[in-house]
Amino acid sequence: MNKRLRIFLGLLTLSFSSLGLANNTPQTFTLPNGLTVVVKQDKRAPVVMSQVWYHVGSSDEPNGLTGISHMLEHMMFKGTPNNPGNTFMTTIADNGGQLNAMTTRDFTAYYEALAKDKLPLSFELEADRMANLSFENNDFDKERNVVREERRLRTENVPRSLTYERFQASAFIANPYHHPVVGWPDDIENYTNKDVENWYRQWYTPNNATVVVVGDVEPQTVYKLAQQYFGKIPSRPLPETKPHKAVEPLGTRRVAVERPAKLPFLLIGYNVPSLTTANDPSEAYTLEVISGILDGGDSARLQKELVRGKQVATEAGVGYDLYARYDDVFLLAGTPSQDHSVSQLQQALQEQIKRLQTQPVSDAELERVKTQVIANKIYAQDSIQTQAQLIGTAMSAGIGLEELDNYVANIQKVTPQQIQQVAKTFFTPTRLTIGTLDPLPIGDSTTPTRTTPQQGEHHGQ
Amino acid sequence: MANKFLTFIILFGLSLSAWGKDEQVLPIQHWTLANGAQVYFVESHELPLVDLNLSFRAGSAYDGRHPGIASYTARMLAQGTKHLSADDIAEKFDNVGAIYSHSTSRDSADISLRSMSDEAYFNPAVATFTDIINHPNFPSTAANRVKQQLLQALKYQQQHPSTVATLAFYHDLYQNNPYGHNPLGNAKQIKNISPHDLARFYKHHYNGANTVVAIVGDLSLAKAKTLSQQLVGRLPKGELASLPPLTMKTTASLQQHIEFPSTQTSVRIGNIAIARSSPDYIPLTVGNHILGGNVLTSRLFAAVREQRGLTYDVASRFSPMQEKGPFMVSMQTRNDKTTEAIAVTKDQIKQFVQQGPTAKELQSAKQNIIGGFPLSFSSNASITNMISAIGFYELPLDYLDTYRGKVDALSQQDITQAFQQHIDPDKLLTVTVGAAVASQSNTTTNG
Repeated sequence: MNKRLRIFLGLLTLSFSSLGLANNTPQTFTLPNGLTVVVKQDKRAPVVMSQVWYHVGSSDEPNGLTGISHMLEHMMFKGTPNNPGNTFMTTIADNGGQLNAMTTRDFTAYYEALAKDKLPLSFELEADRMANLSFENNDFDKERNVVREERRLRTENVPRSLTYERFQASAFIANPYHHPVVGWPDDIENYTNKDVENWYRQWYTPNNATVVVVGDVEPQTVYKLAQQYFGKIPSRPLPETKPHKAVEPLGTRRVAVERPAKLPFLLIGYNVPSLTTANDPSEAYTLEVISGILDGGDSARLQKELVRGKQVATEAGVGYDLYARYDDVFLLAGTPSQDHSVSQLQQALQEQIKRLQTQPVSDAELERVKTQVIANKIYAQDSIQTQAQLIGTAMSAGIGLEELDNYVANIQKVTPQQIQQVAKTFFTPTRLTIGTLDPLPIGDSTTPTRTTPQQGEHHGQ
Repeated sequence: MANKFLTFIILFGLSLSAWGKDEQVLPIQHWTLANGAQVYFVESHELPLVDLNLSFRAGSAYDGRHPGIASYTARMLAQGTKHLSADDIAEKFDNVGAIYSHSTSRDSADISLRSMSDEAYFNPAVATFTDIINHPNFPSTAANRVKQQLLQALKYQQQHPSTVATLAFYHDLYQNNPYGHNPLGNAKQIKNISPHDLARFYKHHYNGANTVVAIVGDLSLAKAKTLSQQLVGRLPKGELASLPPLTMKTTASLQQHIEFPSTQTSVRIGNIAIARSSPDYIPLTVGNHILGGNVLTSRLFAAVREQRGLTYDVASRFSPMQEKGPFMVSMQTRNDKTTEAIAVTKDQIKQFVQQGPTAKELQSAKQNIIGGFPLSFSSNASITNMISAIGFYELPLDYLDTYRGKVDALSQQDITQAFQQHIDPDKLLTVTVGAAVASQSNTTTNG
């Protein structure tokens, strides 16, 4: 690192602390049963965000049980002997709280947002369902129907989601990101209450969870509360996690999805490492910077050159998940404009890739990305949910909070030469997967077939 | 001097009201510029950032003879000014880490800026933002490009049964009234809109009288005052836009079906309800919390999802606007369960309108709303939204201070009466979008 950059970084750290952001560094505690508790103080409002993260997601699922982590997430709202039925939800609601949960490839997380004095309530209920979830009389089949509807809503009737699902299945060969989080339809049909119970017993233990609390709280108080409510739950040995290393891709993969739609859609992805899997972490940070060069705002290359310049796309974007637990894809996606084809858009995107490999990015572009990284770090402080989310994600990826703290510094270190090198290493035809949505007719819904029957008759008649 | 005095008064007010029944929840400061623009400001130094939101009475309800022109105009503001090209504008925001965004609803066009408060970043961001607001020049090449994007966006909407359903619901309810058409317009009309039309729409609607400015974050009152003048002080005074009273034929009970090749049918059920200014706003929204608003504990969630597994997502909401907005239930269910899901939903609505909430339900809703009140102001972003709405819908400055008291005072009867006045369970519009074929094995609804 040159001296000028080091001074700049030094100044940066200084300015952060003078802005009062340094004194709310997250504090981490570990209970004897292995539960990790991370507390970040944010006193701006008298509220608290309380989250429990289980480090299990769809990437832990074997074939035949895909979607089971997500089904378990649904069943977690079905009660315990102490808090039967929907007591969890009504109790939080009666206490002014909001709650929800999410399942991803790498984790399953539950959260409650509450007035700050209600934190013990969240802990009491979460600790109860961490240890005592009921698997009797729990309406399993009704909930399976709900999940079927969720899959229809989010995947089957959204042509782009369906395209992405099939794209992933091609891009990830032996990698556990091969299957969708919601699960394959046949697995959703066939997993049982017992399967879900086994999944719960295997993975929902304090030594596989992180409690994240952000808000107007004292870390020591939170620690004591965590001991009080979660401390008694015994730890259990976890299933051995296999390495799940990706197999070497041997050539470009192509997948087409033909569904009723009005617009074509293109996905291009290169198999790349995440921060967790990279041999050299700087490769992952370089990929993060590349995503900023291509898509970090309206002045970035895809917007400037493809959407406004050539007008080959009406929209285009990039996706890269730095904190994925396994190898991932670096994704480029877009919709061709009216008078351009999918293959013209593909060509334009690949020209952008080639340019990254052959020409160093300008200092101005790199400077812009680095400024945006600082800005985004400040903006992220505005939401207690975003702050908790970042902490939980880092813990689930197993990269630790220190790495999160060093994010800005690591981005600042990336050079034009590294960008060129990483683009050459990873953006190769062998690592490439191309997915397209090829529209089938919907029928002209601008002039829909409409029926207006008399009251009392159903439209199906 | 004047500013200091004002600050003193406000602080004094704060300490007084802290002892009163209605505690001041947010120190909102408000002033009016010479051209009529209304400015709302909340000072907050905890984070080094500033949020700005400008709401203009320039939503799609004001489209007039050019459906879609309001959203088209809002999209065009950052596409070129007298001094800057679209590329220049994008670069100037990105280079200082600022985030510019715009959106158009039926009532308003909103443009926003989020920036770091450090002057090295903030001042250039604000300079660009000011230029966009005051000097957009609608260059024809950019206008053509955005037109193509809009035409694509319209097609995108048409591939999603849920969007098709919502648009059809509004259209059937409001017909040719200003809330009836798709805020994005339609392909045929969009094609006919010229840069000249856009410039004219801008000139008529982006004036002082139509402007509400929200400023939240790390700057002093004095700076906020200068800033508001810089941003919109030079807009012409103009006139406050208003909408004509609604004039549709009264709707009989209607069912509209749109055939769509999907495995699931999207359902919308409801009727026209209230304007934001209605005195029934609070009883209706608190009642709706119980019926279908508070997603995880509502009656609709229990009946349609938990007890029968018919849907993933079911919710009801009031969307009160400048004029009367709708009450609407939305859900989706597999095609062959549509009849059952609609029957269960309508039954729940009817029961609630006839009998209102139980005492226990009302108590729970009050606890949830009042207890969760601080969550509504836990970020600068949420505060910005809140004060923008207060300004745009001309709510009193003590609106937030008195809100909890008003919720707490509600009786079961207040809610039942309000529902009976604004929802007629026998005259609800039902829109379905999905594949009807599969549902033919089902029998009729109970109508």
